[in-house]
Amino acid sequence: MSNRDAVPSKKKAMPYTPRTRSLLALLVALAFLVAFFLLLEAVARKEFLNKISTRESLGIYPTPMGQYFEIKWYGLQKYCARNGGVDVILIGSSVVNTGINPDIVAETYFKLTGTRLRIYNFGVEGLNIVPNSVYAKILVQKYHPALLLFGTIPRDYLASDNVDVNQQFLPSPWIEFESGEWNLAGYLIDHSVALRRYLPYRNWMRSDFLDTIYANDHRASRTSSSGYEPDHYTGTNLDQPPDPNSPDEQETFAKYRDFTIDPARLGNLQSILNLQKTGNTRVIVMEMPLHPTFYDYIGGLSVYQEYQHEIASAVTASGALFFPSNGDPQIPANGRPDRVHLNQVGAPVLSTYLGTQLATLTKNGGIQFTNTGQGGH
Amino acid sequence: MGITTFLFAGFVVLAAIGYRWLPQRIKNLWLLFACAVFIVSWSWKFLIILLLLATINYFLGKHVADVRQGKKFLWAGVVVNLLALLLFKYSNFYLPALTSLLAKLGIQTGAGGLQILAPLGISFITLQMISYLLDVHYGRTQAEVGFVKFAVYVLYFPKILAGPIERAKIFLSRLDSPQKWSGESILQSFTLVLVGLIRKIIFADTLTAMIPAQAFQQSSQYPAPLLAIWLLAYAFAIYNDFAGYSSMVRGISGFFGIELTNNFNIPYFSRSFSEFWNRWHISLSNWLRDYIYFPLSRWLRKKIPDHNHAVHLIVPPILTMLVSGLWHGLGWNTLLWGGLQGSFIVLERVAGLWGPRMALTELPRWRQVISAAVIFFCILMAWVPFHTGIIPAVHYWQNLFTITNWRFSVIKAYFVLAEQSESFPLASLRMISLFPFLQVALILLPALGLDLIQYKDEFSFRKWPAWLQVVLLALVVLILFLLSFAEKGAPFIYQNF
Repeated sequence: MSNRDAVPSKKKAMPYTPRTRSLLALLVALAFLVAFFLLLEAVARKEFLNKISTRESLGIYPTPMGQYFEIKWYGLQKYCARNGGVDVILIGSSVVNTGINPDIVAETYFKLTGTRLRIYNFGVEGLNIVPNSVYAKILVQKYHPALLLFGTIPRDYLASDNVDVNQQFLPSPWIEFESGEWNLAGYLIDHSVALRRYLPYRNWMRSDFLDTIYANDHRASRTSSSGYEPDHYTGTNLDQPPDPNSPDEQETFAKYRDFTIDPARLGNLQSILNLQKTGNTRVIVMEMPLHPTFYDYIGGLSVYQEYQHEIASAVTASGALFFPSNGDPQIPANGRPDRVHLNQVGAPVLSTYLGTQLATLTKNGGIQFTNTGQGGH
Repeated sequence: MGITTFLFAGFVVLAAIGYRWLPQRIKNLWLLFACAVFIVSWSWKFLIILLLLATINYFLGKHVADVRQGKKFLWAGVVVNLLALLLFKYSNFYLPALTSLLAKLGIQTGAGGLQILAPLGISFITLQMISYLLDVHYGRTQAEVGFVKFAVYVLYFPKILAGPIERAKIFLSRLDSPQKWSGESILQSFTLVLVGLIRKIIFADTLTAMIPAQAFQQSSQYPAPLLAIWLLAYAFAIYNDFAGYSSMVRGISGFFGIELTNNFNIPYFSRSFSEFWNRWHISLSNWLRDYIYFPLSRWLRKKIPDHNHAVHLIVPPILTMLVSGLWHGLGWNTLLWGGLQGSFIVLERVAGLWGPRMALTELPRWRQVISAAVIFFCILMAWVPFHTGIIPAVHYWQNLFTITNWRFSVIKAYFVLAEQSESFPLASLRMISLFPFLQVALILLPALGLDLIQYKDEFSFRKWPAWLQVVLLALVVLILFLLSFAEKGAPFIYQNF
């Protein structure tokens, strides 16, 4: 035997087949990915990152409504962290967002009852009763407010209203996950800080990316800590009845022609009303005050009253409370940007009125805020 | 069922396992079933129309080889296929006129007017059918006897959306003897799918999103450097979109052991227009060459025997590329695009009349680089009318080549102006003027890198160290995952053709 033969081979090739090698490569890639994710997650949770940016996102579609929703979502989180919880959450569309100032409601209520309520405005522009009914459930489950107040208008019940927005908003992974439909993306968004920190930048490739980021920041800065976003615009000629022949008005007239309440939308209202059966949350449905000339769009006051009656019946049948809008409160002439919304002049009037209504209701025993100061989580 | 969805991935896995497992005699039947499922997932009406088209061509194919009657059947077949193309693909052009004509006659057509839904891949299928009938007629291939096999040729789901346009002789023989399953073949197919996903989702979709919706329509609103960078983004978006699709369907077909034609071979590195058309949408270019360019050239040579006559130099390329333009869409803009492409080839051939003929690879390196740059520039300019109407295209060129639009102060002025508008609030940050350039560069550089890597060998990744392949794979998966959260991507551009 030669010396060469006597030396055992130090490096003997492993008998891997190509298939085993491929499988091994995939496993290593997976392990690498997991390790990388964990590292990112650890870094994302470090406090120093907040000095660079506090932006987070839930990745909700569509732009920009998803972002408006997130402003309110993170706003409510901060509000609860600051105040130890929330007693009243106001939900609805833009009419609630710009129409009710929670601070004024709370102040009025405090003056009349001596109790300070913690109220947050979760009205989101562009989101009508369909998404409202979905996120109302999420809010009640997470924050257990004593009162959920839903501000509504006839547009909520039009089958054709904002269908495209709803079709994008509802299938957002996080919304589906929070609504009980498990999905990996939603789970990861809910649990991963790193992912939530990435998501504000997810549309970095879009030509309007910087605009959107800026507009978002600007909007967040305009929104008060209790979720109210004042509207500074004042509408003109609102007292004049809308002209069906005017090109500017034709679209709105067409939208409300043969106005009827869509049964599916009524079902969404029912979902909101059902929330008071699941816990200690009371539900109030409040009609947002429209300009009297608005009724022309839907076919006159009689059609409106018929609509109001149907909504009131549905609400009271569920044991919830209904605040109709029958000319109260009197919104000043300069209190509206258009026939539907309220501006910074009109909102305080409605907010004071709402605070008074809640106080009266409390005094009459209609509603009690027993968990004041302990609500939320 | 879009081909970038998890549902489609599951469908492919099931279909491929069934195909491999079943005996050869019923493999085609299984494949036809899978094709039917895929088509029905879009619309059952598509399946009926496409099966009808396949049946007509199947029976015509049996008769076109006939010495006495064949010509009639051939013409009948060509007319039927062209009519199908006109009826379904170009319905946007004649339906409004037909609707108004019916309205004048007092016949109401409903709120949306008359509507015809174009079946999946109709443009690709009709070209395939015409080539089949011609090949059978001229004895280049035999008429297919089995209907199931023929129907698979027509409806084969990996290629139905946007090709490649396969020749019957090659494709049908591949159906008879699919490649054996091996670890390496699966890995190659997987690599092709992955490269396709990278090209489509990471490169094409992101580049498309970077271009403002109005950039091509209202080019006067933007300074020239931005117009240039967005045109570059569009060029790489359309390329990566279609090349990505082609790579994916080749990979998917590979799981069945059926090879599909490679439609793209790094076209933007071409050093001549002829080379470009041998590298861009190869199956369409070959089709146009074999069924339009060559027959037309032969016919012209019969009519005008003088080989040096200018007609031979000009007419075949121009006419062929005009047909290509019309195939992409019935519009003046696509016609202009085709005309430009044809003119480029004519100019190249005219220039080739002087000087010695040399193979491209024999040219000095610096000439190759300059040629590639010139070719790319011309192709880039031709994309403008391809993407937009003829008038906006002319404005785009005007704004792009106006020297005063190129000064940096113009960019600055644009952003200062934009700053005053509510729609562009972030312009207050001066850095923004660089942002569109950074955006495009961030994608363009890796896209070019991928082209360079694949230039010589499209599977060159497979020769890299295993650890590098693994890290890259993980990185790609991570990027795809992160991009999946962006607002929804667009469908494949060529799917619309």
